[in-house]
Amino acid sequence: MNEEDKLLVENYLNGDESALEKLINKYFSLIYNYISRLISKDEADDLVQDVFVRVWKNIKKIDFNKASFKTWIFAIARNATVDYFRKKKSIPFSSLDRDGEPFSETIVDESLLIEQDILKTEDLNVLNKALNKIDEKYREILILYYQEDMTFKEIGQLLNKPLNTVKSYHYRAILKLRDFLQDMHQN
Amino acid sequence: MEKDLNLLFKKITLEPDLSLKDRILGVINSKRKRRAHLSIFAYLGSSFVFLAGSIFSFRFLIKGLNSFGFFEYMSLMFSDGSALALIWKNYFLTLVDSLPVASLGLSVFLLFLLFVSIKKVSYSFKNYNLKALA
Repeated sequence: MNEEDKLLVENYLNGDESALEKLINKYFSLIYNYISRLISKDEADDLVQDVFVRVWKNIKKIDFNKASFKTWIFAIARNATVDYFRKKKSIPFSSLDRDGEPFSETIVDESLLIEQDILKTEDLNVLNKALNKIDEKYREILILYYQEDMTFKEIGQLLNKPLNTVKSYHYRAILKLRDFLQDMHQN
Repeated sequence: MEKDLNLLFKKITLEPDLSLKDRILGVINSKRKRRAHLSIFAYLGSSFVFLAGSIFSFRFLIKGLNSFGFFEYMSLMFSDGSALALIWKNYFLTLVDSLPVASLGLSVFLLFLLFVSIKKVSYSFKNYNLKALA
């Protein structure tokens, strides 16, 4: 996938305008989904537009030795979201650094049991609501990992966090999601 | 297990409005056109400035060559070649000495800038496509 993206970027830089359109088609839904989970849907449209305009403006600067196109475009989306929150003077990502003490990797195995609890959820609306109740930092991890199919390593690159920290966030996110789901079922 | 969770999350994927994609492409296209206009006009403008500067410095150079006697020394080359063969070293040094270095340097520099600007104009036309100006 990375090679395909690299080829499209190279084609675009060599004058093939349709290559950019192909990249937009490919990542449009993913970026929309990521942003819509972090900010309100009404404002997501403008931010998604802003992300792709930034992509177009900065595509010459991409360095494939540092990151894949996917990580790069998600980094742009994340920066745009942080800028958006800054303008609104609420910075949900700022708390990311405070409680980042890494868990041991064995916790990931434990999280499998919790995942099983979540899988029991049949009502997708309940899952959606529970997901929206979780802190942005945890929701972000879940969306990136399960919806955007990013690896922990890629998420680490994107968030600028060590692998173990990402795994611990993932574990906590799963735990919080499970708790919210249990609360919602009880209510 | 992880795959199941993937599937579950995929089910709650939010679907964007497709008109948003057209809007994005439209915005990028209009920005591209604007950028194309700006760069073409900027480089065309600078090309005219460098062309005018080159003409001016070239006239200044011709004046300098006349006043330093460069053309007279040059004409010697075509009138008496055998005599020049004997004093070619001195002749060459005199010829170099009769060059107006400042105006020659300025002319070459401005011609270089003119060449770069023209190249940039053609690159802008080629890269951004003439359709962008429509």
